[in-house]
Amino acid sequence: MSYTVGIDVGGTFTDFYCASADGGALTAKTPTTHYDLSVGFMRGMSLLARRLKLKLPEFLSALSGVRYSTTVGTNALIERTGPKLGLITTAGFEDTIFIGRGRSWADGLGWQQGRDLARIEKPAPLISPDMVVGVRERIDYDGKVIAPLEREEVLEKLQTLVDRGAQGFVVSTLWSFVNPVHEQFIKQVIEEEYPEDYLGSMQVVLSSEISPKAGEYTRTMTAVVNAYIHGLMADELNKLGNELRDGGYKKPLTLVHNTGGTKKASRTRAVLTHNAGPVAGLHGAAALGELTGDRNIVFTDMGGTSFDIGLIENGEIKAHDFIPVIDRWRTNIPAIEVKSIGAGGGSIAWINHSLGDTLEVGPQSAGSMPGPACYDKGGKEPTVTDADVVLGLYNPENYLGGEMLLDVDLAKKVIRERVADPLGISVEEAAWRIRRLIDARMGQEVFNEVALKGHDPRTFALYACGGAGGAHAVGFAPFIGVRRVVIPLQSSVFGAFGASTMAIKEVWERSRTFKLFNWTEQSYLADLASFNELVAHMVDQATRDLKLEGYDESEMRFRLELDMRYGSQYNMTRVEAPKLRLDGAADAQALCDAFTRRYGEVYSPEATFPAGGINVESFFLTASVERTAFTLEQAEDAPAQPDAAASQGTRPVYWDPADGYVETSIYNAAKLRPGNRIDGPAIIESADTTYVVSPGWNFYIDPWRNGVLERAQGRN
Amino acid sequence: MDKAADIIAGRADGMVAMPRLASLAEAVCGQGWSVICADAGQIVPAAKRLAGLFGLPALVLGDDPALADGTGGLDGSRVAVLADAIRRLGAEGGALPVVVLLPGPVAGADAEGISESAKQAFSDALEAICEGRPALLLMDESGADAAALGEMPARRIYNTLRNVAAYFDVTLGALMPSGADAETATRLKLGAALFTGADALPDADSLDELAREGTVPGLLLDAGDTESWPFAAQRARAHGLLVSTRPGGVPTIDMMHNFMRAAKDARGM
Repeated sequence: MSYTVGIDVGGTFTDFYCASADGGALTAKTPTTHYDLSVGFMRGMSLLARRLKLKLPEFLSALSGVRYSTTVGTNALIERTGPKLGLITTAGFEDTIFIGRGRSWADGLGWQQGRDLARIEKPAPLISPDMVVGVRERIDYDGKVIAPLEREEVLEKLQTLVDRGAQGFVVSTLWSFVNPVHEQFIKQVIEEEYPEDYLGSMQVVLSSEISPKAGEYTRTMTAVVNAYIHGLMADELNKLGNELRDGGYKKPLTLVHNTGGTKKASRTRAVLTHNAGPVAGLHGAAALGELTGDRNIVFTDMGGTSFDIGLIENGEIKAHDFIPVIDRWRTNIPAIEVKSIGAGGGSIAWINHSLGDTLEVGPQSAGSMPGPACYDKGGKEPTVTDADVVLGLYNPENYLGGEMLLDVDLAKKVIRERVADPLGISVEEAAWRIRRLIDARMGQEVFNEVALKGHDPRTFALYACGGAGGAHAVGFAPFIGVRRVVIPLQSSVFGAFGASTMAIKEVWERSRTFKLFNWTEQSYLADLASFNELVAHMVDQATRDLKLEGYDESEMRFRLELDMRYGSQYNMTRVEAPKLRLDGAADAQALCDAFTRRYGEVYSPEATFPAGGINVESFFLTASVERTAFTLEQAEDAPAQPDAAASQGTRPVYWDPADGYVETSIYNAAKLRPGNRIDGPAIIESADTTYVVSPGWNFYIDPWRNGVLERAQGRN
Repeated sequence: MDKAADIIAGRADGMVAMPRLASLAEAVCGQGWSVICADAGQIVPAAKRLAGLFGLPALVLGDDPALADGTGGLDGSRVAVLADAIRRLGAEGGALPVVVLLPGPVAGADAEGISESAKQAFSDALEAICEGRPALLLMDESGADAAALGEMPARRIYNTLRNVAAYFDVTLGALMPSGADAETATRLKLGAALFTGADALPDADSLDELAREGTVPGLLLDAGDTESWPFAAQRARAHGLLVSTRPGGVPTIDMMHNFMRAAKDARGM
């Protein structure tokens, strides 16, 4: 029997999803061991092996693939454990990364901190000012060399950085994405001075290789972030790879990318691993939606630390963050957009004395250490999980399938001391308010992501994933008006599950401006050869890359997307090109029509502005390998009435201060069958998650064993 | 040496002899163990020297009465020194697994029970020590009341300590008092439980059951006891077994050499 495993490192838990060749599946969760991620990784693998009644080496030998969403790089950025880098740039532009763009001092901060102008500070730069040198050179927008580069000056500036302790170099010159010759020359000089067989050999990262796109600040920062986390990631992943190999796993380790694909760790750029977990979850939701028939999905994932939100429109993941922020740094990798806020089971409830003793929840989290107070690992702050335990929503003796016992008394104690007593309310009401507040925060964010981006949330199905998703879905769903919420069977490890559904894929990008339609002349682009040559070059690169991954050309698929805009406008709209080549004016017109249609969908048809002309600004080629369609076994419906064995009696649950604790039916999810229906209020417990069915909601199991919540008739 | 770590972690069968050698520090290192324990820079070489002299498969640290603060908790500054020593050993990347012996919370409790401040002190101490990732953390409950060890307050504190240790992947065990049985160790969900004397050791079936529950069993022998080894070796064939020495008594260097020789001979049986 062979198995594949998807792994997702979260702020609180590391999740595992193991699929076996015969269609079976197994999950596991272990606390994330931030001090060394590989400890939690191997612990989870051991758990899976034990559940399959295999010894660890047997299990590892039977694995045909491991897909990993890691936070190693992001952690290194946050903890500032990267090397001392030197930056070589165009003379006169040495301050680019310190000036930033616009409100760059607010990048990566929540809205409250971002508005705290009195206290806000720019983060300490990843490269200090004394480690930035400028060389006299200039290339223009067209790639023409205006001022050539002198070798002597490069050597002089290089020596300056080496004398100041540089442990690696980033090279970013103006317009290098059009003509990289100067950056390549600088790299050549460095490698001649410090060849690989010298102890002084250091990594050299070129912005034209990492991110060949316009925008010197974001291009440079993308290269800087990549260089900063590269070494640490390589070390950690090599160590993990060795542990796996020594344990019996002989295949490559595959990493999940935030651009929506997966590739071997050895062929992955470090910067593409940031925020990969939520992107994997979004792909999992898309895969599941294809089976269930849900074409418009609001994907949410509520874990221990963060709440992620993504959108699937018409079965496709369309939303991209053009200039995503990694930690505090604006980059320009073509990442899939998944919004994250600090809201999870470990979010800490606190009294904001600066705002009239208001109760707040998050964004700070108790993490995995010490974790919520009820985890009994020394935590002294009340969290959302503590509130849920006090309200009776979680079974303290059946949390994580009984692997972890929760201490209700500790939860009550910290809520009393930190929230209830200061506010002069009961512990139960304090817990209820904590829950309402976090649900409201999440609901508001979901509304912002859906409605404020031009979608009618009532036409979407809400997929509530994450370990705490099933417990809080009824709380935040009403904020967007959805009447149907799907809690996938794999919800508690959805990022890991999503990783297992993702294809081998890479996105290649290039900035180049083409005026596709000239309004004044009423003509389409004449120089189609240049357009086609650029795309052909990208296809070549992608083909070579996938061949090195071990795939044949016949298995490869290519998709071209373009960032386009009206001539006098700033914002881009991403459009899928109908073809890879433009063979004539008709093809150019078809592309313009596709842009006009998409622009109309996003901004409204009345907002289109053809008089501005239509430009192509950036090219995105997605190269992927065809894979078999994702399937899950579909079961036949059982009668609506659950078997008696599914009932686990009742326990008191606090639904509303007006009613206090109410005896509420408890069910065992493992004993429910597709088709079974339960009216709220009820709690359904599984080893992985808890489904909370509050009054006014009904619950049923669908043919794929997902839990589905529906608003009861007559309830808004 | 990997084998010792595997036995301690419950991954392999076999026996690990790790006697308490603090009382021999003066004779071997020229200073009393309590003085050595005040300085992390002295703990590391002293522990290595003692291990090297007697051929120990693991470095035993802690075992210092000054770690107890007299109010049922642990002395923070003394713990910090010990944690520093463990970190230094980790940074050196040594081949020997590190075993840490701390005063037990139940043994140190007074008639009122385990106080909140003591619980916090133990929790903080374990976090500091476990950051250095020792192979095994043993709580010395050999002086506790066996019945108290089976009661709810003991289970609660051990639940906390186990959660902290588990986060760092450190096995948490205890030196059990006279009269304690296998069920007590199971209720506390210990990763290792060492029982006093071969006579007090749970029977073979109970030991096997302990091992199945994930608890590595062990023996506390007198330093001069060389006759219990055949029994120990026989049990170690079925699962891992840890062997240490009882507190009290002042073993001599020769006694210790004989102890370790008997262990080695028993392994060869």
